[in-house]
Amino acid sequence: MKVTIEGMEFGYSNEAVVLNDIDLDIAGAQLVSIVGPNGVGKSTLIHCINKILSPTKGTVMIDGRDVSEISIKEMSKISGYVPYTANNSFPLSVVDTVLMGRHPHSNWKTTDHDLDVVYDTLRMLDIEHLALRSFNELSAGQHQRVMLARGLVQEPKILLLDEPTANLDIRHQMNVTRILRNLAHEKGILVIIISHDLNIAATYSDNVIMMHEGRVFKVGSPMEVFTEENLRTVYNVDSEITVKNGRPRIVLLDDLYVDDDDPCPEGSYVSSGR
Amino acid sequence: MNTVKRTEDIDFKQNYKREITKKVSFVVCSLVVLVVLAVLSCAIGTGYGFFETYQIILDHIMGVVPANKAEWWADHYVWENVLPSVVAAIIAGAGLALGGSVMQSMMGNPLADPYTTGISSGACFGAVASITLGLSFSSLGGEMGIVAMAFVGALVPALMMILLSKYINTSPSTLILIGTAISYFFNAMVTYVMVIADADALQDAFIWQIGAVSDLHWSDIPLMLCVVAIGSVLIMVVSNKLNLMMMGDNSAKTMGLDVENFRMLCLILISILVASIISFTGIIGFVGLIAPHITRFIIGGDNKFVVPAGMLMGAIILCLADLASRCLLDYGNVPIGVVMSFIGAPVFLYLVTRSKSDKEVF
Amino acid sequence: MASRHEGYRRLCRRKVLFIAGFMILTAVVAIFSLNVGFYETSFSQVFDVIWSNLNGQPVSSRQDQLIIWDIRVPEALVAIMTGAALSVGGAVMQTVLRNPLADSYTMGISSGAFFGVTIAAIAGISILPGVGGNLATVFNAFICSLIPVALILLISRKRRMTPTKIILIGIAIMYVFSAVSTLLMLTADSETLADVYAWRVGTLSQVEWGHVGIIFVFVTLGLIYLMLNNKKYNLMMAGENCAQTMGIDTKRTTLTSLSIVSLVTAAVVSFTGTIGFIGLVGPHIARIFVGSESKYLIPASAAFGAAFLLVADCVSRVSGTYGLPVGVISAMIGCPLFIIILVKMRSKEWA
Repeated sequence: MKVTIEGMEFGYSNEAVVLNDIDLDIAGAQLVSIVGPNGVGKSTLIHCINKILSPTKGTVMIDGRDVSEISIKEMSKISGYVPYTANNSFPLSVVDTVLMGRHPHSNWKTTDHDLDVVYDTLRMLDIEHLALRSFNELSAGQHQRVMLARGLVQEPKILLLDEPTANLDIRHQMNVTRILRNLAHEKGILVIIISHDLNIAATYSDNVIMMHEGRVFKVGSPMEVFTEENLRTVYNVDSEITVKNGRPRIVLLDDLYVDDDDPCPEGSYVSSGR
Repeated sequence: MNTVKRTEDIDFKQNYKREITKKVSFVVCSLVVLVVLAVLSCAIGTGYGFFETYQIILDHIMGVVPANKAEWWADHYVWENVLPSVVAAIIAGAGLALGGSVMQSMMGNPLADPYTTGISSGACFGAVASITLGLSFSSLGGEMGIVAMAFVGALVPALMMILLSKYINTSPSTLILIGTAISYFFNAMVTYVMVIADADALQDAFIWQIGAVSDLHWSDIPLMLCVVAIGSVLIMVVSNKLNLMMMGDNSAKTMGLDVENFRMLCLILISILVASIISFTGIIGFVGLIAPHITRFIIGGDNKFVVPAGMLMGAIILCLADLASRCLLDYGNVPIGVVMSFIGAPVFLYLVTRSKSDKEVF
Repeated sequence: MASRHEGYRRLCRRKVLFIAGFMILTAVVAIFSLNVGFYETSFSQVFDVIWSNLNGQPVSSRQDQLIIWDIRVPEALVAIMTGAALSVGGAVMQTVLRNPLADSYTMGISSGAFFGVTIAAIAGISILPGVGGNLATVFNAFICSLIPVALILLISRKRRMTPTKIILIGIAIMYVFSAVSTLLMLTADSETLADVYAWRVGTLSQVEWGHVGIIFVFVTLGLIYLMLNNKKYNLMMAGENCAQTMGIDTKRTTLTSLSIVSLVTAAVVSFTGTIGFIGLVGPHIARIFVGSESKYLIPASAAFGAAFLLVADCVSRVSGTYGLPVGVISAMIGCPLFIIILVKMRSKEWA
């Protein structure tokens, strides 16, 4: 699977352009992380790939086909999407929630095969004991894993995830990201995740897309992208990068604030407080 | 993925199947309860015994024509005077509950009911305009003219939404807001038309809009029955798609559902369904709101089961209301719509105070 | 340092300008409205009558005195106060309950008042002993319209209340009241039914000078209270937990402001009937111009609501011999306006 984005631009209204000049070429069985500060357009970029939003300029292509020409139904077989939050006001069991993900592949009737796939996925994510519980009773981290399961049972060729590990404890963060990477490698799926945990992204991703001010700032392997200089430009933070097992390890430094436009210098609370 | 069968794997499947069996048996039980209630309602309505009434209905269906005069009268009484309203209550209850469960799922809003988009006030306006101003279709006189006008009026809100759908985002909250605006508007128009009408026409119009089944005849049934039957089959077919809608639009889109068009189709279907019911019965509130909730409370939220079980639940509730209105006073004085409000409001209050979630609904 | 806040200050000035603009508009329409109606008058006549009355001098023309001073002036005053009260009530309800569909009737006030009117008109029951006729209707409406809010206050002593629950309990109570009213109306003869309906649609043509004073007291006191609490409402928008951490007793704020709004609305509704749409549309339109901050939203809603109802009242007076009731006019203008707002808005702020 290959996602090609050419000269894409997106804005919710004419004045506010969120994404600018996006040119990307992502291919193959790999885990790609999108990183960047809040509001830089990471989620918007993902929504443009899976047709939830349509770009105002430029094209998004999957395997050479323009996504605007792919029907929603066909799209659901190509790409799966795991949202950041899930809201549901109705009592629905975890199985039923995950079974939704089988919709693109199955008909009205739930087959044994569907159930097999669901169960295996639940077990892989460590939530098979929750299968018959009501979705609304679960914690935020459990919600996230259920939504992840729903994305996985969709058996897509491209899986897009919006901060899939934001609510998870550290063990499950690693676990889930490892599962996603293995899935990408073994099944030849292109997995794209949005991540704020740079070390998780650095440890598991094959490639990283770093975004800055509505544009793609850097694309490449974690070693190429996560440099002290890049982090300083994009996040305006100082860091120290060490290398372990061929992957960067990022240590953030707090005591080196020397910027002139630092909004929050030492003592600022004292001076402005009443 | 590894799909080798393991013991826990089989347990999982068995558990799941057991849940399904529970749901199916709930549907079957509801059906039995419904039949019992219907016969009971007939029995109370006629004053015959329960089994006697059951026998009379069964005989009539089997085509047994009673020979002697007393039995013929009994048969005629049950079949012509009582049964039509009971059947109408069942159909109306099923139809409104169907409308409610579809509306709630597709709006992703537990407080939606079949009238959320302003259908009831549209129907009211149609009927009231027909009664007080004499507006009608020339070929249809009298009673059928009112029914036709109510039907047309009920479709106006849906038509407006379809027309507006190009200019607005058809998100549930916008549709609900527009529905509210439309129903406010029609309510004001209804009140106005009633104010300028002469006093007798006003009384007729007022009585029309209260939901009632007591004055319905067999001739009113076929249209309602057909629409509800066709509607329920169509909804059953898309019930798995309704499930997708419950988790929000984006989620449904990524599952391959064309959300906007699907919602509009559902809206049209529900409008026709509800319009064809309330143009005969008048506005019966609450059943469409609470029947799906009670059903979900018992069997969970999967629409494949909520749709049929909810219909049965709606039929049971309206049948109960019909029964209650027969027990209360001489029949026809307390219309089913009023009884429904008295039953429904406490149930609704209970549902509200029971729910622990602080989620913003509406 | 001043220049740093220049942008914000300019924004605030624009909001104040909007409010002032609508207040001036209200005043202009009010003067204009004294000339509108079946009986033709000129500005000088109007001016003359008002001047004489304010100075305590007798008016030369008895008919002028009757039409302008005894009918049109109180009607305009009540229109202003009603519009302001309903609109502000809606704004506060929407903010406190965090629901764009809330309005001043959300607590079931309209159905309660209607119930009071039906028992007075049909069953002939007056809740206050020794009161009869029109006054019984007014008192019944006032007392009954406060039953729902009293019930909600009662329930809230036992259970935790969320905005959603308050709205839903209001709906449930409303259904019960309407059911009882419907039962009563079924027993009524057609003439009485017509009277009851005429009350329901809402009209300003029945007001007298005696009403103005009562409404004035309720509305001014209520609006002053709500205005003084505007900071709290801003914080309430952030959600219950947030507001609590910022030092607001959310439960008390919610319940007292609901009670105040209900009192004011009940006072207005008892005299005018249930005029719809202003409480819903007024705040939304005000919001377009001044945003959702209560400090500006409350006065802006008041100014807009007053102007809106005055215009509706003028239209109702010129609309024919009998005149469309002002409630119908308000719905006829309000509904399309509301839909236009929705079409224009598109943004995600409320919808």
